[in-house]
Formats: sequence, structure tokens, C-alpha cells
Amino acid sequence: MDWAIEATGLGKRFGAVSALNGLDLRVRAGEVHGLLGPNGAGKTTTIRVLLGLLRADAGRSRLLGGDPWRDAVALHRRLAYVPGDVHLWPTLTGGEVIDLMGRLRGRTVTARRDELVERFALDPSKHCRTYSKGNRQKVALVAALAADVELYLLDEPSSGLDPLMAGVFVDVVRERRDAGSAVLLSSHVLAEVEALADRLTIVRSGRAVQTGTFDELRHLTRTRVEVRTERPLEDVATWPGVHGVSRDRDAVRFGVDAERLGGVLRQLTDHGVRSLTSAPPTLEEMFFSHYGEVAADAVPAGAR
Amino acid sequence: MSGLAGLGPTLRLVVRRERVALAAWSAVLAGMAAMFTRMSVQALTTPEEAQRQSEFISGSPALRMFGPTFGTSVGGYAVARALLTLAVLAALACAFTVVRTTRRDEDDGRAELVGSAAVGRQARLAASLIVVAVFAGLAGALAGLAMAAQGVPLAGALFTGAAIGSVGLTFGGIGALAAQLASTARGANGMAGVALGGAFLAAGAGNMAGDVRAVLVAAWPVWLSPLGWAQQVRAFEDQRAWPLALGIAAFVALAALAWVVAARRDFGLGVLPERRGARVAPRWLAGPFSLVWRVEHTEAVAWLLAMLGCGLAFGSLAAGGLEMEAGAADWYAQVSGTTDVVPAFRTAMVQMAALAAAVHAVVTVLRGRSDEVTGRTEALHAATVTRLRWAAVHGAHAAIGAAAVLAAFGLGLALAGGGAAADRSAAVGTLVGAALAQLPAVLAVAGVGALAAGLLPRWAPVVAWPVLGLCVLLGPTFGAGLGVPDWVRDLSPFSQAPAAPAAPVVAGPLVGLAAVALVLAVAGALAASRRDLRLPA
Repeated sequence: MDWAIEATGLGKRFGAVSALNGLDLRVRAGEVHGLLGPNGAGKTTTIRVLLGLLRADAGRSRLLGGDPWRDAVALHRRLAYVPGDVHLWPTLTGGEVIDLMGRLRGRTVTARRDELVERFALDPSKHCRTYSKGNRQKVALVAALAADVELYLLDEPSSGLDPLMAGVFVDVVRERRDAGSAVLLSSHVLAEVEALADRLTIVRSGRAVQTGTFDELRHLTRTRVEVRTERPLEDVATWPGVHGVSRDRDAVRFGVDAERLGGVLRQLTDHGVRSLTSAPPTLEEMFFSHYGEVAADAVPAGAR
Repeated sequence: MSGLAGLGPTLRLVVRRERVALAAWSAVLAGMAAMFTRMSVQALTTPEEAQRQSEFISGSPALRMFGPTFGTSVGGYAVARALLTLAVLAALACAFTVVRTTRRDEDDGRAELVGSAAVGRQARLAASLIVVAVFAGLAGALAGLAMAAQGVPLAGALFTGAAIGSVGLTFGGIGALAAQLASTARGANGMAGVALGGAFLAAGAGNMAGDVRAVLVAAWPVWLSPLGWAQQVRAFEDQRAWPLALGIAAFVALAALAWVVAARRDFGLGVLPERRGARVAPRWLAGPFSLVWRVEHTEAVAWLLAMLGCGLAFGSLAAGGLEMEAGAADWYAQVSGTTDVVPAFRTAMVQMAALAAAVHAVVTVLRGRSDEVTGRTEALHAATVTRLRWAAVHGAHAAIGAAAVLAAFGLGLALAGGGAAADRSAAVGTLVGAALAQLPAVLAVAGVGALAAGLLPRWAPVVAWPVLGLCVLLGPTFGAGLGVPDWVRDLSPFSQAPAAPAAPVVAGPLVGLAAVALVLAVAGALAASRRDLRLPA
């Protein structure tokens, strides 16, 4: 297996605050990998360690086969980065920033630069101080995505973009993936990760709590069930694998652990099912099952 | 007048927002006025002592740059010590308050909310100016009363307060005009700051080059400066009211100009328009060195012209014939090590230019780290710019920039120096060389900033500026009057630099200082490349 990113046991402390606690992350060459987690989970710190901007206190990391700290410059020629918070030089124009970044990396495709400026509807002749947040983001996106590189590191890249531009962004990232590049996409826009990512890693408190494809992760989470039965479901809350029961007139809603679904269905049939809908967990539900207060205690055992 | 519709509520809003800050400024001004006066009263217990100290100040061009004495009263001595500081503070308070309540509100979108109501186009400007005018009057009166409470004559104290208030008022007007011309609050504050710096230099130059007869007769640049007008009130001597009128007239003129501009310009934009720039980067913009030049070239050119201008101004003062009273001649002799008046004067000027060049170099060195802590370098380091290269680029810009401003100053000094054409062209070589001989000392001081930026990026300004201040204080310009041992003064790189053109330039100290600068800069760059990048969260 060819890995674009291979990090094991990354640790990083800032004074008393521990930002990374043994984080593992593996991104395959040519895949879009989602890095999902709440604010302060360690997503940005992870990316900065991978870029050699911060030095990890513990763990090992390889980026495109090299050492992120020691081989920084050589590696950076082969990757492009969009920071989470884009700060630009107020007196430079957007076009100047895009060209400068391209020249520093040495791999910009001019035709693609112009095409991306067009698609993102960016005016490159304006000075950076006059750009809105969304437009600053576009400058960073065009500067990165115009580069012809093996790996894109994108830290919450679509924050500040309107829905139309977020759609353009999804298209462009797919094109880069189809051209063979790997993408690490940190985000909390769940729909975007769901639309783009081949695999994802969920981080919390500086460690990866889940990693895999969507299907793999869905197995570890609950299916939502809404059911109407002939005989009342009085003791449903005590059935193994059933969580979060709520009742609405004659309908009963609850979540079922994936591995218990068969048993629960058999018991439901005994009560005479009149109607039943079930839905696999969406990314949003997976996310909340890891972070939501309601389900905070329900992280599947052995999730690490 | 529809332009003033809604003035009442707007005025109350400004008062409501600014009352705490303005009360604090007034308290600081009154407290400092009282403190300076008390120090003077305690220091000068006899009339003889008051006379001796007052003559010492008026006899020293360096000291009178920061405030001349007129007459020999205790109050006059207190004014010499305090007026410049208090007036600068009042000017900053007024200019910043006007900018904050006009332009900053537009930047942040608050003004949009107010402007969409039934509020006239100039109501915010008028409210802001009224508040600042009242503040300037009250704060000046309070400062005057605070001085009088320490036992100096009431009339003189109130004239001093009025002088402080009038400077505040003038800079309120400057802030108002700047807020209309600039397209951001930052730009407006910058313009007001440049005006204040210019006023300081003009008053300082005028006082330095002045002539002590019965009282100090300042040279003409003083009359270009609101700070100079305040000094010319001579609050404890002949109490002239007409320089106060100059300040008030300037305020009225500036406010009227701002009023006219405010009626014409678009909301949120300045008069100086936001121009479009290049769609594509110029070919030469391809690395960190050219990036720094692209970002800073306007400021660099302004520095260069300002230093050339200062050189020309001081040069023409020297050319006009230096008639110095004994005290001043002693001071120049002490500073430069020669009693020959013209070389002594030129040496003292070159030494002062070195201080300005050091400010420029420290600003440049610290800029690299401010780009780091504000997050702008993150994308650069994530591309192919190493920390080492980023530090080296700023070191190079600091060295080239300092050399350029020193050379410009020396050139100005020589070109305006008078004499025959042949003399002047010979002087160009001598004086540019003398100015450049200060470069290693300048870089040694800036090297401390570079080391601090590498080791402690967040705290670098807190280290670099006090170190510069200390080196300036111990250097030849001010150190001679301090009464500290020579070995302490020798710690300042400025004390080590050759006193050219009065003394010959010798290689030893230059090589030593350059080595110190290089070691500090390299240590800073290595420290920066070994640590975490200090980025915003």
C-alpha cells in the first residue's frame, strides 16, 4: 500500500494544554480523506505537524515518504496547503498572492489558475484588505488547487464560501482526486465530507476515535427506527441494543446498535408491526454519536 | 441643515461610548502634569538652582529638542520637562478618538446602522469633533489646575493647560481630516501619527537650531509644528495667547475641510480611492525577498525621502552659519570631541541620524515576526520558504534599508552644506561615509531584535524597543548629560561608532560591531528554525 500520509502516535503539548494524544492517521495515495472533529480536537495541529510548522513531541510521521520536519522544503514542492484561517498581505492583490505562492512551489499550471479564478468568480485585481472572508478563502483555494501536486492539505477549506462556491469546491476537489492526487480534508461541514471523502478519520481530544470508510463506520453506529405496532411496546427500552426511546402518539422511535438489529426486529415482529421505517446513520448522526452529549457515553467499545 | 440631522442622539452615543476612555486620558494627563511639576518644585529649591538648571537646558541643543526653557522660573522648568510629553499624549487621545468614532465605525459596520436612521451625513463627524473639543478644553484645564496645586503660579499653569489642550484640539482636526481621506481607520491613524512625528521633528529641529539671547529664539521650523506653537506660549514667561490662537485656527480649518469632504465622499470609502491592482504578479515577485519589498516599498521610500529631507534641513542650518552660545558649543564639543563648530555639528547630526536608522532597522527586523504571529507566514512556510531564509531576508532588508537611509541623510547634509560646488562634492564623500560608519552600530542594536524574534517571537517587541531605548539613552547624543560612568555608556553600540566626520573612521570598532550584529542575527535565525512556528490559534 502506498501511503501519502502515515502518522502514528502523534503527541503535541502547548504548555499545560495537550493538543495531540497519540493520534494515528493514514491517508492512501489518491484518496480523499476526511478529518472530522469538533473545534479543538487537534485537526489543525495535526496538519501543522505534517507540514513541519510544529514539531511533534511524540510519535512518527511520514509524508509522501519523507520526514515532515527534516525534508520540509523538498516535500512542500509536492504538496499544496489551504490554512484554516487565511491571512494575506493587505497591500497585495489576490492575483499577486496566487502567483507568488505558485512560484514559491514551482508547479503552478497557468491555464488552471485562470480557469479556477473564473470558476470561483474571484476578482484577482482587488487588494487583499478589501476581500471578504469568503474571498480570502478563494484566494487560498485557487493558489493551492492551481498547483499540480501529489497531496493537498485543506484545513476547513470551504468555511466562508456560499453554497454555490462550496459546490464548485467539491467539483474541483473531485477533479484533483480523479487526476491521482491525495487530499486530506479537515472539515466540520458534514455534507461536504460525505460527498467527497473516500475514507474518514474522526478525531476527539487529540486522538483518532474512528477511522475507515463510511460503510465500515456505519456498522459501528446505530440505525434509527420508527415503528407502529398492534400491541404496545412497553418494555422496548430494556431490550438489548436499544437506545434513546421516544414516543409520539402511537409511534415509537429509537436507535439500535448495528449488531443487535436482527434480534430487535424479531422481537418487533412478535408485537405485530403495522408500519416500520429505518434509516442508516447519516454522517451527522455518526458525528453526534461521538460528540453529542446525549450519546457521549455510547462510543462503541474498542473504537480506537 | 440636513447634514446635522440626528446630531443630538449621535452626540449622546459618542459621549456614552467614549466617556470612560476620555475620563481616563484626562486623569492621566492631570496626574502626569502634577507629577512633573512636583518633581520640578522639589528639585529647584532656590532661585539660583532654578536659574542654573534652566540655563543648562537652554544651553544644550539635545535637551531643548525635548522642550526649551524660557526664563528661569520653576514653572518654566516644569513646562520644559513636561509639555512635550503631555501635548503628545493629548494629541494621540484626540486624534484616535476622532478616528475611532468616525472611520472605525464605518470599517466595523456600526456607522451603517446609525447612518440608515434619520441621521445627517456629517452628524457623526460633528458629534465626534464636539466631544473632542470639550475634552481638549476640560483636560487642559484639569492639567493646569493640577500643576497649580503643586505650588506654581496659577496663571502660568492655566496657560500651560491651554497649550496642551490646543495641541489636542489641532490633532483632533488632523484626525478628522485623515478619517475622511483614508479608506481605513488604520490608515487614518497612520496619517495622524505621521503628522505628529513631523510636528515633533519640526519643533525639535527648530529648538535645536535656535539661538539663545535673552530667551531662546527658536529657528523657523518651530512654526510649522503645533507642538512648537504650544511651546511658544511661554506659559511662565510672557504668556503669549496668540500661539494658542494658531492651534485653534488650525482646528477650525481642518474641521471645515473634513466637513466638506464628508459631504462629498461615499460611505465606507476614502477620498484616496481603493485602486485596482495587478491581476497577475509582476515577474520579479517570486520569493520572500521580493515579497517583503513589494509589501514595504512605499514605507521604505517615505523613510528615504524623510531622511534626505532631514539631512537637507540640518545641512542648511549648518550652512547658514552656526552662532552658538557657550553652553551649546560645549555640548557639541563634548558629543563630537572637537571644538571646530561645523564638524562638531555635523557629527552630532550624523549620530542622531543613526538613532533614526536604528528605529527603521528594528521595525524591519520585527516585521518578520509580526507576519508570523498574525499568521501570514504560515502559507509561506507551508510552501518552500524556510524559517532560516525568512529571517535572512528580513536581516538583509534591515541592513540595506538602514544603509540607504543613512546614506540619504549624509547626502542631504552634504548637498545643503553650502560652500563652493567643489567643496560640496568633496563633502558628499566625507558625509555619506561618516553616516555609513554608523551602520554597524545600528545593525548591532537591530541584532538584539533579530535574536528576540527568533527566541521569543511573542515578546520580541517588548525586548527590542527597550534595548534600543537604552542604547539611545547611553549613546553620545544623550549619554553625556546623564552622569553615568563611561564604561556603562560604552555598552551602547552608538558609543562605539566612530564620531565622524569630526574624528576619522577606523576599521576596528566597525568590524567588532558588525561581528556582534552578525552573531546576534545568525543566533536568532537558527533559534527561529528550530522551534515551533508561533501561529494564531
